[in-house]
Amino acid sequence: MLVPTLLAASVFFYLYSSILFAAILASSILINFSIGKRINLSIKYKYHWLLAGLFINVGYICLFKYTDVISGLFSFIGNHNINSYSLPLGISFYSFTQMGYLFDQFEGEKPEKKLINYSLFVSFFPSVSSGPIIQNDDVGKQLRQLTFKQFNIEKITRGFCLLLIGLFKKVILADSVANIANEVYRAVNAKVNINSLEAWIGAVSYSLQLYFDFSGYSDIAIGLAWMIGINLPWNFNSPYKAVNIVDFWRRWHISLSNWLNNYVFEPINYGYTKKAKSIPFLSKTSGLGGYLLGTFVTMFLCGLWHGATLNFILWGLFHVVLIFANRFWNMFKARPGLKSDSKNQSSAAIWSSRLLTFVSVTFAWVLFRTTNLGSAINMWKAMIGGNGFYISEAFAKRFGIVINNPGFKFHFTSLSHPIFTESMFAIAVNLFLLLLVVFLLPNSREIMCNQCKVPRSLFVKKIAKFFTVENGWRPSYVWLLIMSVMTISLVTWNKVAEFLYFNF
Amino acid sequence: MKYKAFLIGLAFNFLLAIFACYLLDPYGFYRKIEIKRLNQQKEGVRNVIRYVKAIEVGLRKPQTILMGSSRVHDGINPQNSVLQKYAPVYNYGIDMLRINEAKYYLKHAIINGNIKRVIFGLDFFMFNSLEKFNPAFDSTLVGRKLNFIDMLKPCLPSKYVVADIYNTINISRTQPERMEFLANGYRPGSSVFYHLQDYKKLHYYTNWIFLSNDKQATPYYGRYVQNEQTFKCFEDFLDICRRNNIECILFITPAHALLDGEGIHLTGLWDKMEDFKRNVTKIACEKNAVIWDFSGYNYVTTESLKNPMKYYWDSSHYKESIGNLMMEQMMMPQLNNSAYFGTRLTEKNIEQHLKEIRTDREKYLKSNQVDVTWINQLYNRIKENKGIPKEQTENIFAK
Repeated sequence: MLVPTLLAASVFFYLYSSILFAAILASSILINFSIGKRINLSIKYKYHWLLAGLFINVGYICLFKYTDVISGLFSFIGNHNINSYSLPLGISFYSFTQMGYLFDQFEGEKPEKKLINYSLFVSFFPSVSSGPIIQNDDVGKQLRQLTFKQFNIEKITRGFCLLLIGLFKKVILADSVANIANEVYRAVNAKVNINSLEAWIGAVSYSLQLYFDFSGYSDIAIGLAWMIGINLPWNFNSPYKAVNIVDFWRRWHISLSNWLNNYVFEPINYGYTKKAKSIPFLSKTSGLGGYLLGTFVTMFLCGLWHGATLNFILWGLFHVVLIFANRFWNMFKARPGLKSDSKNQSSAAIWSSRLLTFVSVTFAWVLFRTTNLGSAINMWKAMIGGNGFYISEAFAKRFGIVINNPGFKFHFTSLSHPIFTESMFAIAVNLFLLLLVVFLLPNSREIMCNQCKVPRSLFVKKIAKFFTVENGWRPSYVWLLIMSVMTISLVTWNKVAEFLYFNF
Repeated sequence: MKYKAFLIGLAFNFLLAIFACYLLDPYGFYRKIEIKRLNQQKEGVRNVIRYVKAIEVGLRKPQTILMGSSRVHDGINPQNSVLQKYAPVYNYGIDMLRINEAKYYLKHAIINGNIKRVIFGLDFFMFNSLEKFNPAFDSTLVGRKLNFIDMLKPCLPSKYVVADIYNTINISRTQPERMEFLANGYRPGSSVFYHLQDYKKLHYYTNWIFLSNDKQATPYYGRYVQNEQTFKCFEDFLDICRRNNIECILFITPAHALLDGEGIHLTGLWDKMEDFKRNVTKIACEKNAVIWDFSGYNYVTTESLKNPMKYYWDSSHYKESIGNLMMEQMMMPQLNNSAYFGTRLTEKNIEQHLKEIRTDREKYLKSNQVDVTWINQLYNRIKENKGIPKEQTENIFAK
């Protein structure tokens, strides 16, 4: 009875977005289920069925997500007047989930026999709209084996608390910086020359907004699933604590990273390396070549997955550059004669790596947020001081900063185009506190997951002790107080902004 | 601690917080307990005035509504003795209301109330087509039947409610005489302009806001475009009244002559202002609505700038005594008291009326040279883009 009930709940949830979208999801499920079966049964045409499945899924995404761009590409033939469709909720997520399923079938995994089970696996309501991207042998299996016995007050309480944390991240933390980021990017898109401080405030605000928004949604999804007795995979693990860009991708949108790694990067890397070894002039660099090619294609697709605009593609390529830089740096460090002990790095080295990674990622997010390349360049220009730095008159006088310092333009007392209605000081304090939350506090996984083996720094351990979660989360008066405050601050009056990743 | 006790504790704390919100009532919806120095000043209303008005008009179920901008909101008290026979009266005045919005708020009041009469204060700036809707206008709320959740939402604890409760208690404690947001929708000018000590500076500031052409700011006279669309909205407004058998009494509000006379003249909008009066009179007469004009250069609007002033808080907002006078003039014209001012407009007398205003202006220019020079200097400064002088914005209110 549980599977039909959960499926009904999922259908109800999805129907809430649109009947048409539900029909699109249903057709996608039916097609993928049949193709999955064919892949499993057929020996001769296994590969063809897989290609057909991938083609159909990519077609679904293209039809609804990239119509504008495709019609734009063919505009030289004539004006086709192709109407763009509105984006079905979670189409990128459920299409990738199903493509993963088809790949697994191709690799010989056991197929899902019942359509009802498969439908629930794809449309499971906590994850269908914004992930995490799930796998049949993990979540699908859990859903099939779910019994009433698995419902218990411990799971419900834990799930509810994680859901509260996720909501708190979204409603209180993400939306509080969203206004700041929106103001700055609105100015940038309107070609206003903002100064360096404003640009950095906007860029950092957006980095924080995106993290709290998306990780908040993931926590809500995982918390909801826990309440039902299902363990969804964790999607975030303090990405801004990453010490390099590869580490960042191990912590950010983990389910997508894993998917791309398993189904795109690894096959390309392995395939190229294998082939290149047999070609004399490529054999020496076959490993590096496979890595570079795999990274390039993977990150290009990653950018494209988020949207078919030049900015998203360039965002993916920006990360390619960062990953390449990281690879060459590691190769440089590994040269004979150069001493490097990556395991025993000083905390100063760790923090500077962390900061460098955060700054790089923040630079890349500019492409993600701006509507065109020109706006992104304007924003970067402002961030590196091309439009002048902001500094208060009192500060300048006190510290004797030379006015009209060659190369720098200083604005005094107030900005010529005051973007912010709040005081700069209040905004800076707000951002600083949020950065402390991001860099110093344990994340939801470290707090709530008793089964997860999470490596914790000494500082996180101390914090964990304070919050009585050093041996895993347990209900306590401290947590009753924290969760009560969260609950009270959550039921907001104003409209809550839509989750950012609903757009992908 | 056990899991069950934890969940019960969480639910209990949540309900406790709802109860506290209900009792302290920072938005003034419930008004069950009102204690001086604790919650008499409903500070939460300040930032969400449009929301509060839309909910309150549903809760209070008035028969008569007073509509208009902040001039009506702050200047006309529904407790006025003349209005008592039309009770219950609710002041539905909304700051910076535009004619386009007014239509929707009227529909909203009809859907959620029992409206028999509308007294609507018209302002020249309402017909500026550069801003059709105030950014705070909520199209998902206004114009539909209110439900239980709409009523409950503001008392649900949230970060806004927590901040508004704190502000309510804080202002109630430090300014115990202040009661700015009353249950009948009225916002007494004495509480809005609490501890006003320099009337002249406040006049300066208001005129600056209205005459400035700052593109970032709300458009008033400094940036003004009038088109047929705005008058169409006005027609729609009157049609809604007619369809619903609602008596409609219109009046053009009496802002100070320095603003709605000289300010309009300086910004080159005099002809547009006259067209505005001609058009609204024509439309009102066609739709069988009564229309009065209290603006122009009469003994109220030409009050000289001094400290304190008898009739005005600033150049835009008249005091309650003027609101009372207007209500008496419109609702009991048979009294025909010489102290009254205002003219009932018809298609026949509109041109004569406009001519009289032009003549009154000539007289005003001769007899009030100090004030006229003052507004000319202010406008010259705006044209020179020098920004508002800092000293004009300091110490307007006593600390």
